[in-house]
Amino acid sequence: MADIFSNVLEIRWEMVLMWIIGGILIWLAISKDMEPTLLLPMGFGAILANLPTSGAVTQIINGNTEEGVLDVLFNAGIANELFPLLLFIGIGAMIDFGPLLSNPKMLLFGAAAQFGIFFTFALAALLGFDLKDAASIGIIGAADGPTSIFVANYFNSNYIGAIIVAAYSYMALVPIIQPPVIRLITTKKERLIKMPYEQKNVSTAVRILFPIVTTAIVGILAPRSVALVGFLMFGNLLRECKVLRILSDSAQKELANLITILLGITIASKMRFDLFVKVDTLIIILLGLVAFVFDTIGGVLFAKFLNLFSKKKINPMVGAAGISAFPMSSRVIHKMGLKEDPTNFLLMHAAGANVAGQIASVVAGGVMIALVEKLI
Amino acid sequence: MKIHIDIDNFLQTPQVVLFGMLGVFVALLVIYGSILILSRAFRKNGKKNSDVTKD
Repeated sequence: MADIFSNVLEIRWEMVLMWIIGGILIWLAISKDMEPTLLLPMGFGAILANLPTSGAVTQIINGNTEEGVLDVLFNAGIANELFPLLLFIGIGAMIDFGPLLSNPKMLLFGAAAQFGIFFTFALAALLGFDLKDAASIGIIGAADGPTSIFVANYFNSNYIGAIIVAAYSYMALVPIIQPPVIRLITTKKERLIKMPYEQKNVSTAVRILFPIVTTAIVGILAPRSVALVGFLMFGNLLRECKVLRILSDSAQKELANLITILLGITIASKMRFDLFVKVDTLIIILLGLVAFVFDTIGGVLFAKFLNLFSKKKINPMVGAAGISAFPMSSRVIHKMGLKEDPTNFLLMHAAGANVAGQIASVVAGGVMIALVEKLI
Repeated sequence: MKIHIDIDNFLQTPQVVLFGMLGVFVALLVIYGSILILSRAFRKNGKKNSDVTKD
C-alpha cells in the first residue's frame, strides 16, 4: 500500500504550479479561443509532463534511463526540426500571396516589422542571456511558431518551452497588443489616410513562379533559412499549380492538423517544472512582449518614414501588419481603419504586408542564425 | 541563470542588429524586384491565363 501511494509524496509545489499553468493554457484555448490548436495540447502536455515520475517524459529510475514518449517525439520531430518544417508546408498551402503580388511594395513593411526580433535580441543580451539564448528569445518577435521553434532548437536553447509558450500566446494576443501601440505612435490624421486598392490581375505564371523564385533568392542570400522558406513555398506551389488540389487540401488540413497536435503536446516535454519554473521564464515572457511591441513600432515608423518621400501617402497602421501573425494582424489593422473611418478599407493592403511578414520572419530567422553563429 | 546587466555581451549585438535588419531588407528588396520582373514578363499571358486576386 505504501508503495502505491509513495508517488504522492513526490509531488512538489513546482509541479502543482505547472498543473495550474497547464490549466490556464487549456482555459485560454477553450474559453478565450486563443490559438486553441496549440495552447490546448501544450496545456494538457504541461500537466502530463509534470506528474511525479511521469512516464511520459524520460526518467532515470534506479540508475536506468526509461524513455518517455514526449521526449521520443521531441527527438524525432523537433530536435531535427521536422515538425516545424512539415507544418510550414501546410501554412504555405493556406497562404494566398495574391495581395502581395498585386502590391509588392508591401514587402518592405514585412522587413521593417522584424525590428522587434533584433531589438529584443540586444535587450536579452544586455540582461545577461548568452547570445544563443538571446537570439532564441528575440525570435519570439518573428510572430511565427515554426520559425521560433526552428531557431530556438537550432541553438539548443534551454528556454524552448518558455519561448514557444510566449510566441503562441502573443500571436493570439495581437488584437490586444497592437492597437494601443499603434495609437500611441500615430496621429488621428495619419490613421485616417485612405489607400485606394487597385485590384490587379496576377497571372497564373507569376503565382507559380513566385514560390520557386523566392526559394532560390532566399536560399542564396540567407541559406540558413532555405529549409523553412523552401517548405513554406513548396506548400504554396501545391496550392497555386492548380493540378494538385487534393495534395494542397491535404497539406492545409490533414498534414497541418496532425503536425499541430503532435507539435503542441511534444513541446510540453520542455515544460517540465525543473526547466520552466524559473525567474528566467517570466523575463522571457516579458521580452516576448517587448519583441511584439517593437515589431509593431518598426513597421509603423517605417511607413511614416516612406510618407516623407511618397506622394501617395501610406496609412502607417498598415506597417504594423508586417508582423507575421497571419491573418490576425491584417484583420486588426482593417478593423482599426474602419473604426477611425467606416469607409476606409485597409484589408488588402494589410494582408499584403502580413504575408510579406511571413517571408520576412523566415529570412530574419536565417539571418539571425548566420550572424550569431559567427559570434559564438 | 542569474539576470544581470552584461555590457560586454550587449556590445556584441549592434553588428547583429545592423546587419540583421540590412540582410532582411536586402533579401526582401530582391524578392520585390523579382516580382516586378515576373509581373512584367507575364503580363500579356495574364489576360489569357489569369485569375483575379481574391481576398
